[in-house]
Amino acid sequence: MAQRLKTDWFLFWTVISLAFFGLVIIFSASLPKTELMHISQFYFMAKQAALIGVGVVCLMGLKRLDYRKLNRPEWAFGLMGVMLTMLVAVYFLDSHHHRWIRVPGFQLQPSELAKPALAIFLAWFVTRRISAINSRYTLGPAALVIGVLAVLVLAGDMGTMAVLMITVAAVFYVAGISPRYAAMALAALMVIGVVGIAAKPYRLRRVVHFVDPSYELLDKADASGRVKAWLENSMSTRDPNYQARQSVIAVGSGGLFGLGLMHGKQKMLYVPEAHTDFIYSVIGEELGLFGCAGVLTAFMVILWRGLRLFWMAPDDFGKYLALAVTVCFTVQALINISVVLDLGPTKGIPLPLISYGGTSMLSSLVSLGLLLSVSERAG
Amino acid sequence: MEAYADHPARHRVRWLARFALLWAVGIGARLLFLQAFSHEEFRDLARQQQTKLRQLAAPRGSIFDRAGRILALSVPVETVIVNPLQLPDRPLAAQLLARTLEIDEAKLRDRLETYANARKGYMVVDKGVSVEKADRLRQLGVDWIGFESNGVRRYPDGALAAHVLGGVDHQARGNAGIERHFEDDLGGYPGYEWVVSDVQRRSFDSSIEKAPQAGRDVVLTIDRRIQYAADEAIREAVASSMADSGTAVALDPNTGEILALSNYPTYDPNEVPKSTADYVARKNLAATDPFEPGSIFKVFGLAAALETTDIRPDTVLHCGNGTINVGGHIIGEAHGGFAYLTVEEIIAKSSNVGAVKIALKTGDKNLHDYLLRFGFNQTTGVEMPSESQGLIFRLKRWQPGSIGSVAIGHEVLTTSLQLARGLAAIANNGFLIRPHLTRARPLGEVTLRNVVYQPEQNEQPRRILRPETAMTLRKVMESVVLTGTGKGIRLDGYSCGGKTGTAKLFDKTIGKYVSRYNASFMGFAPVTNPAVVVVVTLNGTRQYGATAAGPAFKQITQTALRVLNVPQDLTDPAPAAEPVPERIVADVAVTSTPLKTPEAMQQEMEAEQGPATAIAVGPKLPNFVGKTARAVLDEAMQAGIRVDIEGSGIARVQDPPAGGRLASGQHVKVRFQP
Repeated sequence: MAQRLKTDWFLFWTVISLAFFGLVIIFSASLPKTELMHISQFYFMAKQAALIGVGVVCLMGLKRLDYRKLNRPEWAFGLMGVMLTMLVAVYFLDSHHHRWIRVPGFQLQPSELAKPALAIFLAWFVTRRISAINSRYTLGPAALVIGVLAVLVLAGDMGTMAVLMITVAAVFYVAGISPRYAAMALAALMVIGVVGIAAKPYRLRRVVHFVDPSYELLDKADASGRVKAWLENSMSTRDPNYQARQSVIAVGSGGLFGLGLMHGKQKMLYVPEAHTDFIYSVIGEELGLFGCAGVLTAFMVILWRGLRLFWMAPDDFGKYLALAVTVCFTVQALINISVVLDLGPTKGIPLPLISYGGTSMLSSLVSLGLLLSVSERAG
Repeated sequence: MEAYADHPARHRVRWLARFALLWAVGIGARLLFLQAFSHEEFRDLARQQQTKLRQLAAPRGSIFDRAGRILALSVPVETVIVNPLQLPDRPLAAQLLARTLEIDEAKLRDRLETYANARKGYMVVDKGVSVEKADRLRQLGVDWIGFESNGVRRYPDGALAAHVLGGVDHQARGNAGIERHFEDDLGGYPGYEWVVSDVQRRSFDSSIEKAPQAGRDVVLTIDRRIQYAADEAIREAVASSMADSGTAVALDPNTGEILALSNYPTYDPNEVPKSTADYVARKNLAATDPFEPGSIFKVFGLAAALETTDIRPDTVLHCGNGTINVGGHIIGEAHGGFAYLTVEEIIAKSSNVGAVKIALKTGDKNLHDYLLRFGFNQTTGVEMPSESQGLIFRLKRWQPGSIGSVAIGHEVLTTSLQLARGLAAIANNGFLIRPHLTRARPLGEVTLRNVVYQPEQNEQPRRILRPETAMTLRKVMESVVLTGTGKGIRLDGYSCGGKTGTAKLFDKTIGKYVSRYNASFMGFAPVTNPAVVVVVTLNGTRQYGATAAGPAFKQITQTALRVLNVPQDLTDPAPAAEPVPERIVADVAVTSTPLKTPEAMQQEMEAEQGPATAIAVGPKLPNFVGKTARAVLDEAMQAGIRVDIEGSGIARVQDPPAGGRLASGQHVKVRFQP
């Protein structure tokens, strides 16, 4: 039966507006950096615009595609397999950060692309085992796949790992996982998390600094000061909270209406990475409370339109696909904003749809393409 | 599947949504806190790290002589600065800068490294760079060199009028003379600009907080030509009389305008003092160094006598054949002794005994009163710092022998400037004028705007002598040069009068007066209506007043009369100078042991008046500590206080502290730290 397609234009235009709004902010935020690098001031903006173009084509394509075609093991495992392979590859190719694969003119970040792949995998898996979600034959394989993914992502990108794992947790929570297994999963995740943090001193330092900025507790716990010395020597920058502190100054100095587009001053290299992970601080400084609230509201709109599909999608695969995509997208936005406002330790994840970064933009638009595909065929 | 209405999964999704919403509300609250409630705090924090307050120098006013000829001006120079963090190639930059600026390359390279290692983004390469050199650097067209323009003080005539002009310190602030006295006016008010810079201290924007206010100009009463003559005359006189130092003051007795003021040793205000001798040379002896005047002081005693007793110039007094005992204190003559002399002859021959007799007739009180009337024991109010007021003891402290000493110019301390003022009253028929150095505007066609001039309020010259007393005194003083100790001091085409003086110097190491003198001549010309009064003093010579100071007086007075275009009152040229026998010239004020040594008097003077230093004036300083630079500046501008700002952030230290007062020309230093 030919179904009448109904595009969620509200969601669609919110997404497109955010992407183009991001372009403008990227232009403003990257000005000092382009000046420092002696390159065209449109360099970052132009690259981002090209990727938005590619991303929107993907989005339109996925929107047309019937998502139910993806409800097959070959897609679920195939995509996941490709992701895991790429993550293994990136571990060796990028020996320092384990994060980027250098392609000429472009840097691919597999952990970003893992998001839509994970969403499809979760949706397929949960739908398949919805009646036996608490069976060990369900959870065993799932834990295996997800555990491998977590460890591989963790190697390079703790923030993205957190986003992915929160998505997994949300999906299994909705699917009705028993508290017992939930607790076990949580414990496992925490072990992975603690190991991940401790493995990289800079992460540990960020966390310690966030919890205990003046090392008061640490001094009590570790009288010899050995841990402190190790932490102090482990990082090139003197102040691990520098980024967050500067970004809070930027946001605070924006006030209600901001200093005006292009008039931000904190982006003059006071806030490092102003055009990528900390772009929300530029919005705060230049557009003030209204700009910040507007962006936050836009993400909430996407959350609303996404979760709404859990009621409206015609099948379980659609419901869980929409849920996974929405949670993944929104959680990343909320975490990023929280970090910029110094509500959590620095992670290094971009603000979806707005931050400069090709893979992230592509991944976001692909995810939202899946969401739109579900919504076309909903209700 | 459609029986989902209250399926637990939907319930759980609602919980997820609530959780996300709560998170968003938390973020919203944080935004509200940052951007609405604490906005100002963060705005200040941002401004503090992004902007620096930089001072903009105000062009310093110029100094002109009475005819509008320039004596001091500020020449624009530039300060070359670089940002060591931004240099593409430090050794190359050092080479380039060092060659153009002609400075040491290795040192510059080291400094660049040091600054770069300390992460400092602002380094002064060289100060006082000529505009031409700076332009050569500009033409390189590189963006890492910065320029700041400021001025360097230049005195085109070198040492001319050095002590009047004073000089400026390394921060271009007046530290002596007119430059110091009018520092606030000459210096103008520096402006300030906020420079916005990025984290590497590259400035990309600036806004003027306050535009600099140019300094005002000063027009002096000094005439460059008379000053030149005075400088030359006093230099020659010091050399020919083998004196240690000398001073000359020439003023217009009718207005009090100082036409020339000269000291030797002198200095070139363009140069930075390097040795102790350089600092000694900077002392403005004419205004700050009081001395025992000796015989020239007899004139003022005679003035008191003429006004208060029946003594007239033809009154005959017996001069004790050479000595007189005043209160157990023996006073003798310089040369031999006199029997009967008229009062006129007493002054002409400078008889010590005669002068003492006149004083005894006048009495302590009258003599004391008249000395004060002549303005001794008080500053003249001339526009120069650290003026001394000299010393006349209070009457209560006069001992029985004091009157004898005072009559011949001992036990008193006067400055050359005070003597000139006293003599001016005799020259202008009895008015005490205020010697001053500034005019409202220059003579002639020259017009200057924005000139500093502060006439004293109610500046009515005070009458201190009857006109006939003054005329009589001038006649008496004319006889000094016609027949007396000043014989031979004659001018071409002008009559003149004066008085010689030779005061023995007191050597404190042996506690005695020695045969080294303070040799002076003070005089006026022409006699009937004097246009100029000149006081010349040579310190530490072995010659008598007339011999040592006479030629300088002649030279200065002659020049002044010519420059001032005074009509001649004599048709004859001056008689050819003939050697005058020493016994005629001799006019040493001889006392036995001093009642009060000059050192003791100096100490008492300072004890009574405080040391001659800059007097703290101006408003009480507010407390700047704990305030932002902006607040400090606002407050300082309102109170008219100059502030030197160091660092940035919050004011931590101020010098002088709150409640103190500033000396004229002094600035408050305020150090800021974040």
